[in-house]
This record gives sequence, structure tokens and C-alpha cells, in this order.
Amino acid sequence: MIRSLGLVILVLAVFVGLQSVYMVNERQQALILRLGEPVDAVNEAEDPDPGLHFKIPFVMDVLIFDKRNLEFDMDPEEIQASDQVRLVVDAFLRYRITNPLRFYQTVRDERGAQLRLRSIMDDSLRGVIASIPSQDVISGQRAELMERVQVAVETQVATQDLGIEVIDVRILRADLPQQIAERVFQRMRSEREQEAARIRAVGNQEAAEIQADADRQATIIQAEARRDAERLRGEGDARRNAIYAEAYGRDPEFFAFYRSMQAYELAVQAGTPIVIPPDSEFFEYFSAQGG
Amino acid sequence: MPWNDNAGGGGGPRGSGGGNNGQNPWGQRPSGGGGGQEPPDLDEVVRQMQSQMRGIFGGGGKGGQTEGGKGGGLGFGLIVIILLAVWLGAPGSGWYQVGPNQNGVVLRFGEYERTTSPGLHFKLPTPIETVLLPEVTTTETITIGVGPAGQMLTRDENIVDLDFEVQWRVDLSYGDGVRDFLFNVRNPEKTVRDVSESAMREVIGTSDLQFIIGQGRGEVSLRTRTLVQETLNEYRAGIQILQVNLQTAQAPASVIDAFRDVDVAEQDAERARLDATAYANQVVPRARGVSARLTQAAEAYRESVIAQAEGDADRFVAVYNEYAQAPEVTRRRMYLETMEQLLGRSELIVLDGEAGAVPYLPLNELGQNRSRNTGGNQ
Repeated sequence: MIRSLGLVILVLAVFVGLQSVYMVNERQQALILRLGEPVDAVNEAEDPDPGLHFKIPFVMDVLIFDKRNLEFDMDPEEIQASDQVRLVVDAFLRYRITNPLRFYQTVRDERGAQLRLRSIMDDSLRGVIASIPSQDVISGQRAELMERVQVAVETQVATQDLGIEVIDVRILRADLPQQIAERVFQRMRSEREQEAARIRAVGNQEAAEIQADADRQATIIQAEARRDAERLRGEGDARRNAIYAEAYGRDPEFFAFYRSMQAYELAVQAGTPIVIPPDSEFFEYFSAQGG
Repeated sequence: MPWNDNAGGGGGPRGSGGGNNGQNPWGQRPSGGGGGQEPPDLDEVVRQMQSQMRGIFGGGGKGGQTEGGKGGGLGFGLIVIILLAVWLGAPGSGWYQVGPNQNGVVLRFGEYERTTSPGLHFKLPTPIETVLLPEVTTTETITIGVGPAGQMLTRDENIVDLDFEVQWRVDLSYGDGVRDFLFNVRNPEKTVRDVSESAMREVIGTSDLQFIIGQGRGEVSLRTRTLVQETLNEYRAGIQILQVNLQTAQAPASVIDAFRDVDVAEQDAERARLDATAYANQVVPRARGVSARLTQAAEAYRESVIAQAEGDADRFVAVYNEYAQAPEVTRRRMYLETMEQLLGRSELIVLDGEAGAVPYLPLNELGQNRSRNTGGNQ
């Protein structure tokens, strides 16, 4: 019996011992509740103190919160930009619990925090995007846009004093809804078609230019050749005339005789009838001796 | 268990890194980290430890109660000693193995104590000290953008289909290294994924489509990498982005045909140019050939005409020189010789104009005569 009693006491002692210690690791922070009333925070951001801690057993409870950089992912939403274009916006937020006491008092746990953050994010996104044309949301000033949303979220978080720090707000996607995307595809297609047509036209134009240039060159080359040929012929003729003039000029009278003789010989064919008077020069001695 | 704890009685295999299937540096099974909802962490350990203790002592107590009456005190003590021995000696409780790609991070009651390198190490038994075994040298790869998630808007309001890969690993050199990685950010893989997608969309949103699918791919990757790294450094996430690989960057499937047609058009245009050049290469040389023929022929004409003239002239000069010696005789001789030749082959009719005869020309006969004569000549 005594042994059993001792055992019971031992068990009780161990149990009480376990109830009087708790561990807070590097990733955690703890809120100490005394009979349900928060009294202290352990290992919060300003006062890191991880490790083994003691508490009054049964009277104090320990609530553990995450200390790390946490993520809150929004569902994609359609939001209207200032130019009435609806955009599908998907954003996420990174936050950290900095004040477990306020956190516990305002949202109790992470689920509560997410509910609150969802409405804050939604609000801030709509507020900021409604004042910006869709073009700027999609492209140009995304970094600036995220900055503005973050400021808006931070302001609300601070006002509500949620005990959290907003680390970053990032827009994951800011896209056109599907039906508008179809229109974009249509436009892209017709732009490409125009581009293809333009490229082909330019190609044909350049081809025609190359051909025309070749034809021009060919024509000019041939014309110049003909010109040169005529010049050469002219040179030849001129030279011939000069040669003849030089040679024949020695005795024009003899030339006339000489050339006439050649011409007669060539011009008169065999069997050509020639009527000739007997008193011609040829027959000078023909009748003189006889008569 | 995300904590990779050694508390589970005889949970040696996990403690010694047996659970590292290469999925992530936590050495946990992917299902274990489900959605990042794992606040239990160390308090879970404590709870387990508590229940374990209750189990040990409670069980021991019962044993004492049932067997105590029969003098089982020795048995109770023995059980306690055995349990103590198991507690201290069980693999993973005191001894632990750090794999070659791991770091061992030892926590004492949850507080960072030391980092150990690969090999076999000793620590205080489990509830007092626990060890985390993140894989610090393994390169993790995340693929982003397959399917509709890969459609992104460009600055010129086109849509591009993207598919990229992010390679990362624990950054041991920045900040507190592995401690940042373990203690600062929950769910690092999802963090890398979200930050990367956001950064990529930001970069794509400030670039033009042609640039992205063309020569700008390298720059897009580089800018994204820089942006992701900056953001993660701000988070002190202890993560190093090694590379961002843009695997596909092309026009969306429904317009790709139109894009391909542009390439085809470029080839068409190129072919038209080549054809025209070929034509030019044919036409111009042919013209040159024709022109060469023309000028050569003309040159030939010139030379031949000159040669002819020179020949004629020289002949004349030669004859003339002789003639000049005895003009009268030569002249007469030449005349007579020519006439001889000429009249010899002609139909000669001698008519005396003063005889008063009526000239009669028998044209028909003359023709016959002529043909007979020619025939006779042949």
C-alpha cells in the first residue's frame, strides 16, 4: 500500500513537474494565460527568449503562436480598374505575428487572422486598383501598385491593432478575364497576319527592285556595247577613208582610170552584149591598117 | 512531422535522416508539411513527451500495482532502468547521423544550440535536445507556369505562354544561413513559388512580347532571379536562388499559327529576294556577254576594214609607182588588157554609126545566144 501510495505520489510529482514547464522553440512565441487572462508573452519579436520556461501548474496556460514569416494567399478576384476594365487579381500577403497578446485579443488564432486579412486585402486592393487604369495595373507600375496596396493594408492593420506586421504584399497575377483574353488573342492574331503580309510584300518589292535593277544594268550594258561597236566601226571606216585618200590622192586621174578598169572588169559579166562603134579607141588600129 | 523529431519512441530512422526522400530540405515527407498548417511543432513534441512519460510511468505503476503484492518491486525497478536505457541509447535519441548533404541543427529545449557538420554526433537525449536535419546542399527545382497559370500579360498587352523553372537551395552565406532558413519563413517552397511567379509576372508586364520570345529571354530570367532573390533576402528566408530558366516562352497555342506564319513569311520574302538575285546574276552576265560579242564584232569590222583599205592602198601605190615610170605605155597596156578580158567574154556587136544602117537589136536571139554561150562555157 505504502509502495503504491509512493508510486502515486511519484506519478503526481512528475505530472505536476511537466505542468510547470513549457518549451518555446525558435519558431514560436507564447502567450501565458493565468486563468484565461493573458499575462505575459514569451519569445516575441522584441524579446527573443526561446527555450525552457516555468509556469505555475494548472493556473497558467500556454498558447503557442508562430513567429515566422507567414503567408496569406488570396483567392483570385475580379476587380474593376479606373477605366472600367475588369481584371482578375490574385495577390498574397506575408505577415508576422509581432504582438501575441493583441493578436490573441483581436483575432484569436491564425484562422481568425486570415478572415480579417482577407477583408482588409480585398478592401485595399479594390481601393487602389479602382484609382488606376488597367494598363498600369497590368504592366508599367506594378511595383508601385504593390507598394500602395501594402501601405493601405498596413494602415488598416495598424488601425485595427491586430498585433501583426505586414512584411510584403505582392500581386501574383493581374490579368484580363478569359473573354477579354480571347479578344487579345484575336488582336494578336490579326497583328501577326498583318505583319506576315507586310513581310511578304516587302520581300516581293525588294525582289522586284533587284530584278528591275538587273534589267536596267543589262539594258545599259548592251546599249553601251552597241554604242562602242558603232564607234569602232566608225573608226574603221574613217581610217579606211584616210588610207584610201592618202594612197589615191597621189594621182587622182590615174586613180580614176585604175579604179574604172577594175570596176569594168568586175561589172561586166560573161556574155553581156556590148555594142561598140568601130571607131572606138579599142578598134583604133582595127580599121586604120585596113583602110 | 515537420520537426523531424526524435521524440517518437524509437523513431530513430527519421531522426537519422531516413525520412529524407529528397523532396525538400526538411527531410520530411511532402505529405507531412501539408499546406503549411503545422503550428504543432515543438509543443507537439512536448505533448508527445508528456504522453510518453505518462505511458512509461503509468504502465510502470500498473505493473507495480498488479505485481507489487507478489513482491514485484524488483520488476518495477528493472522496467524503469530498461526504459531509461532505451531512452538514452535509442538511435536518434542520443546519437544522430548528419548526412553528407545535411546540416545538423541542435536545439536545447527549442532554443538554438549549435550546428553540426556531416557525420555521427552525440546530443543530450531527446526531450532535452532535438536535432533538425535540413538538406543544405541539395538543389531544389520548382516548375512554374504549365497550363493557364503560364499565360502572362506583356507590356504591349499581348499574352505569352511561359514555363519556367526555379532552382534554389539553402543559403548558408547570407544572414544567419541555415537558421534563417529553418526559423524565419514557414513553408519555404511555397514562398519561393509565389515570389517567383509574382516576380516573373512583374518582369513580363514590363517587357514586350517580341522581346520576351526573342532575344530577351536571358534578360527576363536574370531580372526575375534578381527580383526573387531581393525579396527573399528581405524576408531573411535563408534561400539562395541559383537559376531561373525560361523553358518555353512563346505565343499562346491559339495564336501560334499566326506567329509561325510570320516566320514563314520571312522565309518567303527571303526566297523572293534570292530568286531575284539569281535572276540578276543571270541577266547581267548575259548582257555582258552580248555586249562583248557586239564590241568584239565591231572591233573585228574595224580591223578588217582597215586591213582591206591598207591592202587596196598598198596595191594601188605599188601599181602607181610602176605607172609613174612609164605612164603612157602602162596606161595603154592596162586599158587594152582590161578591154581584152572584158570584151573577150562579152557578146560583142560592132556597129558603124555613120554607115546609116538601121540599128536592129535581136533581143530574143541575144538572150539565146547568151545562154548558149554560158552553157558552152561550162
